[in-house]
Amino acid sequence: MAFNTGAALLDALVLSIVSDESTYGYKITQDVRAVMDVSESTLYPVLRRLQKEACLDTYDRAFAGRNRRYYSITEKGCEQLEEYRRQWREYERKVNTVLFGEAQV
Amino acid sequence: MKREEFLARLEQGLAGLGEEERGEALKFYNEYLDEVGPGQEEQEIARLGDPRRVANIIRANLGMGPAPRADDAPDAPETASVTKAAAQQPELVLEGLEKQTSSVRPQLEEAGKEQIDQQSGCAPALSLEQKADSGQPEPKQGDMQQEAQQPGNDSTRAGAGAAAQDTMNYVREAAGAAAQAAREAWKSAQPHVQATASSAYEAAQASVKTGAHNAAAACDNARNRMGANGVLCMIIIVLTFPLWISVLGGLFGALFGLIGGLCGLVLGGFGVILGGALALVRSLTLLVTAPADAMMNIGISLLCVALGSVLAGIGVAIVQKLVPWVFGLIGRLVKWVSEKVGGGR
Repeated sequence: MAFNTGAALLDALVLSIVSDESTYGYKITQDVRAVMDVSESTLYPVLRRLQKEACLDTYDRAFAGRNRRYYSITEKGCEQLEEYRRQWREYERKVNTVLFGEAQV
Repeated sequence: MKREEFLARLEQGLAGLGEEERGEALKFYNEYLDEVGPGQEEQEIARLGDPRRVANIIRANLGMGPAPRADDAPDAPETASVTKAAAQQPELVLEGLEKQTSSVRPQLEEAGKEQIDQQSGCAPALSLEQKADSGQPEPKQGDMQQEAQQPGNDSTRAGAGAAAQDTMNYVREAAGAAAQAAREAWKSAQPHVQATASSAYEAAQASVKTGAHNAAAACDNARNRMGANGVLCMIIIVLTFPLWISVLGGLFGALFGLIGGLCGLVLGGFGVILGGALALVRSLTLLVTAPADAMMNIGISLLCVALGSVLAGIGVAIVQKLVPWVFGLIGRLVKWVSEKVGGGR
């Protein structure tokens, strides 16, 4: 994709994926990569940082005889996600205005 | 690359981080690879990329900076996306956009949406370029430059790190080769060594002092090049102490065994001369009572003297020639080693 996407959008996508359903690192990585062109190794630091910022919680579950760490969204994470969503709509509206609006006048 | 190797190298790359951070990251990637089928594990590891780079992305995010290695030049776009500086970028962009678009009438938005279907694919791209000219990407370039400056520092540090590694490898190789040589020398020298153990011990002590001096000089040199890694150098020297003291002891034992052997030859020669001379004197007293025996004894005595002279002569000649040569050889060896260890000062 030609558009360079920043860390805030990455955070927003991760929070959104986790808010839907608590899930694990590999799945989050795949889901983010489905919409955003980032390398696999970018996701762990994002998850770790959101965890440290208390936007995400983790818990361990046994799965197929091994451990799987699940990430779940916290209340703070929910608030953060709402703020990101609001900002994204604002951003989208303004970008659309400039990209498609001005040309018509 | 196998999972074990990937995780081990990742752990190396995370050295210096807290134990908890290291553990968390390793746990994440271990579980991450659990999710991949066994057949696709190596493929997935290849996708993750160089474990040192993976480690550096983690370090960058925790504000630690990349690990000091030469090939760690950060992959700019990705690193930028996880650094704090870059994290603020979208806000900057938003602010910029706000200023740019504050004069645009809100109703243009609706018009713009309708326009999407009508415009040719080229038009939006053109307007994007126009925006690019109006300064929007500048903060990003600033970030990229900051990123680009980092590898310079890294390569300096990496140089020192590599030098330390080289020194270590060299010490290891040299110690290994010397140990092998010492074992062989020891085998051939053992009989002589016992006779000259005390002198060999003294010589070995002296040589250890010399060795320590050389090592210290090399360490100084390495410290100049490596800065704080000098401590590492000292540790290497101390740790390898049992190794190189035995090596030096063995070498000098062999050398003094050889010298002892030659001394034996010389002394033996003189002994035979002395014995021959005494026998000659004894024979002279027999000359009156038993002339025939006396004549035979005199003959044997003279033969002994001649043989002893030859032995002593050969021994003295060898010692005269060999000893300076051996000491010259040792001198050259010590000089060569100190030059090598000192990095060719």
